[in-house]
Amino acid sequence: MINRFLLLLIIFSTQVTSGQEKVTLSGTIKDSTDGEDLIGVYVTVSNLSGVGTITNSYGFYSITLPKGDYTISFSYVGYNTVNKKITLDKNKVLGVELSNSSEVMKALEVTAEKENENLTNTNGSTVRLKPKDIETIPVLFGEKDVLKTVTLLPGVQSAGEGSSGFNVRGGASDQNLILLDEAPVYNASHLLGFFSVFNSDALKDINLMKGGIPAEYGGRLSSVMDIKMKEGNRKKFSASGGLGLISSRLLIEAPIVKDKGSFFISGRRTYADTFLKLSKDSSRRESTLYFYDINAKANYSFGEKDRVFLSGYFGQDKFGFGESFGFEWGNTTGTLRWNHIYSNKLFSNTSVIYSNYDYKITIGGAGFDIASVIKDWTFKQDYQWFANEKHNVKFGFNVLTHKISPGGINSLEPDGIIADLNVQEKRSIEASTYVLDEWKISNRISANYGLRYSSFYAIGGQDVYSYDENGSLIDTTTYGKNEVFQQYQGLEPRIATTFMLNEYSSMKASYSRGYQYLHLLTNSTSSSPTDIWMPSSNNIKPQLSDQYTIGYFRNFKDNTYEFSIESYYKPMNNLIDYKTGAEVLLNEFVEGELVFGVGRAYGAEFLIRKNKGKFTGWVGYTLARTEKKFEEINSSNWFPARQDRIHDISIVAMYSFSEKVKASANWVYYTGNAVTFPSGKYQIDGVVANYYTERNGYRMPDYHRLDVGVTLYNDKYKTIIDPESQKEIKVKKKWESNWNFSVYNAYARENAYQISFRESESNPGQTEAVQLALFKIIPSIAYNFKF
Amino acid sequence: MKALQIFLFAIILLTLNTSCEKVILIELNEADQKMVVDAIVSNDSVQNYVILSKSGGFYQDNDFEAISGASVTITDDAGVIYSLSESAPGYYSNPNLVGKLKTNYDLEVVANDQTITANTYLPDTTHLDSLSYFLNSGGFGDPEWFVLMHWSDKQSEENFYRFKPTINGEKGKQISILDDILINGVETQYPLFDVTVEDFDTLMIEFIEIDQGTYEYLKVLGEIASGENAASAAPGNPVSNIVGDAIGFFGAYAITNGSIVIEP
Repeated sequence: MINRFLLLLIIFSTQVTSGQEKVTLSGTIKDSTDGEDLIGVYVTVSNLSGVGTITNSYGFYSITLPKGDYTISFSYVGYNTVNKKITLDKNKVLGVELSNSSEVMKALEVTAEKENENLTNTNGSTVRLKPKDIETIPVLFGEKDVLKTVTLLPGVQSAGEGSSGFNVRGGASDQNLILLDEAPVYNASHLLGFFSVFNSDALKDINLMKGGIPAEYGGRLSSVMDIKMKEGNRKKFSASGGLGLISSRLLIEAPIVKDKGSFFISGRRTYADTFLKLSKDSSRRESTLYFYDINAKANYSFGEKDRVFLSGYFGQDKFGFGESFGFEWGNTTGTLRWNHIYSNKLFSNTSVIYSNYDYKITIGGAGFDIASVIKDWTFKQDYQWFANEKHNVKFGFNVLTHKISPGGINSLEPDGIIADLNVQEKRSIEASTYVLDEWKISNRISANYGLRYSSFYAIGGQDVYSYDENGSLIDTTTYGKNEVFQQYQGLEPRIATTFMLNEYSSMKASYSRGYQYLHLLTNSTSSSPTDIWMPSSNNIKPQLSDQYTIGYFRNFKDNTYEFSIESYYKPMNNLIDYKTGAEVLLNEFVEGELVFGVGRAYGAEFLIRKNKGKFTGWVGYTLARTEKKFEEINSSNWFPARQDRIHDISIVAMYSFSEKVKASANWVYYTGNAVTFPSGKYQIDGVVANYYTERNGYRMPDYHRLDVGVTLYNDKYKTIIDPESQKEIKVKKKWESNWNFSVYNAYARENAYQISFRESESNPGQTEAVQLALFKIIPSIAYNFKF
Repeated sequence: MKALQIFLFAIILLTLNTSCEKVILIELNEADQKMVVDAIVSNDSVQNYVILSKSGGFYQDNDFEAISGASVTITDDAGVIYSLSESAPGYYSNPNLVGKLKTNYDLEVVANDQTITANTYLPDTTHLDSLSYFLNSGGFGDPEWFVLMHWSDKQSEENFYRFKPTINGEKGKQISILDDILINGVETQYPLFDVTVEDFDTLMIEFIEIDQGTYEYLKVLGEIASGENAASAAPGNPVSNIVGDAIGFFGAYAITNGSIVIEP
């Protein structure tokens, strides 16, 4: 199958290349102020309409053209377009630096040529964000947070207030592949989800794929969130930071050798617990509650063809009361990458990636601790072959090893009152290989099609259990340390196509299939540090989904307004749910407590967006359903998934009064989550118990909230007398700063976080429903600076 | 562990001090009335009974309709049949019925033209060695008394426990249960959570060995009992050992007793 596919590719490329003599132009595009690589810059040939390419994740491009004179145009949103005249008589290298358009003193109206990117790219279900785009959007406690901001886009839902989890097109929150510089992040939340682990200061580019996921990504069903850290200023030393209500941040960056290499290091720490120190209560003073995280990265170019990157993330949350109780958890990731340009057409990236997530609970009083670890190593090889002006081919493979210790209890002293307990370590390997082609079929039609082959091996060195249909243990087999006891594999075809109807509208369609071999087990409503990742096994089959999308995209008024409607249908197989009363934590036999079923998600997403002018923003609306079916649940009838939200509206508005004052507001509304409420009660064993009839048959109250914010920038420029001409000129100040004021939940809506049913405190003998709301109105203030 | 999470959450909320709680009225469906069986056999002579009642709507008062005039029998695995008679509305008992350890029991109830059956196992007792207490000053708030139960778990078998405290004659309402996964074969001391005792209080404990079915039932019951602040992700009805169109369970308790007075 793969062979035939490759053959097909070769035939295509040879057909096109046979003809007149061609030469290749390649190079790297950077930001002129700090030397950061620019991802996704459009490189177009002015005199050949429809011919062009975009820069890859490392800012590299390559384009093959017949010999001749050309004007090459480099355009990127928010940057000034650069046009270069070039005589292509042989292969040439052309590196370009683009300047940020807001740096230009006069309000020059710069028109990027590729403003209709949203129409022409093959993937309609992709959203690209830069931290700069979101800096004025108001957020909880003034902590800029990319995970929170993406939930304002259609098709992406927040898993709930005070949660960093998100659901994409009806998928579960464990079906999102979150990559930080290619390293998978297993728990993206701090403080049980109030904040995400991503410090936006350290980030350069966030790319969220909701559907039509290219074949280079795999392993999760619903989405890929590919986050790239910045590289560090290659030109000069620079620092930025902020002081907020909850935390403070600092980032420093500098060249290692000017224009050859650079690094950055950034840190963030909360200080909410310092308030506890002021408490009169001695035990409260002894308690700790904070998180911190550090991002760091260095890169160095060895000559023109080789570049090495080393990046890492380290973050930790800590809770504790003196000696008696401690709870800490954190992620560590590290990525070592080597870019090599084999030729002006073949770009290679080799990565070695490490990812670790662990938590530890110490109960000093009772003398034991509980610890759990996930450790991943990945080797990844990716090639990008700029075959010709019509084909851009990517292929590669990767091998991922997982080592998961779901948890254990260890006595801290001999002869303790607790018996040691260790849930067996689980080891597995995921291996995959892919090939894809970005093909410009004609001026109007383009496609991104590919195939991924993924395989999974569960490895022994453990007892393997079999269960009967009631979940009772029937058999135990012990496998040797390097024996594979279960294998799964599958082909994942992916295709996304665009058909330009005319220069202001297009139709897009896609199909993608995916397998997921790791599953998150949780029995709580919010994300918890103790949630457990389980690999597939003889009992747990890989989750499988197919997604079909179709969309219509149209721009108005010279690309000032974008409109899109996209709909999707996504059947899912081998989804996981739990038996009533299932125990997930520290349960050796947890697989016997699981049930397996199917799901389906479908919906339509509408987006109107204004990109230019003083007033920008968008309105997004999603109409969707997500349902599940399990033999053991709800009498085998379809029931709504928890994340089934029928209506979801987000409105984001940003207004720039002047260079110095920017205001913004966002409003969200969504149908309450599907929940299970009692339909009666009864008396048993001296207590009153709730009686349930159907799963998720009720709805939480509708959620809505308005946030507003204003950012005041100090003057970026100062006026000096030019010593030469004796005229007043404006120069850029070294120190830039801004104040950000925001109000979360401005009209103090008490949104239900949880509804519980219990005996009335005021009126015993009665039962009542009690709603808990997490936040009323939360004002916050932050000061940010850069020099 | 859920308790741990709620606890952490409470700390965050306390720190942020922003949350608010209020009673709301939610429109709930009213399920059809179901027969409820609350049946126990035990080695304690006064705790052998069957209570039959009907379920009610969520917003009605907590007085449930008794089912009278039922025919109720309990049979042990030696074939001895005990017929239980109604001594108060819906309350069925037989003074001759005292549970024997390590015995299977069958229940049969015929009421309103409906027959339901159930089977349970009364396990052997595990002996409660002693009780002790200490003043715990670490943690949130004022120092408080912690009561510890001391016993040796049996290594060779899976054991399940239930603890029923009574303080100064008042029965505790919480359902506290434990399996031996963390204490298998250990001479353990286990704190009585959910119990607040003051100086000079008299604490009595029923230290009960139960079978796995009863344990699983009580575990889920603890999550959905309205005395608790129930907030499970997907609450459901406990799996019951009752066969027939009824809810509830037939439990068996192997009880040993202990008591202690808190002397500061």
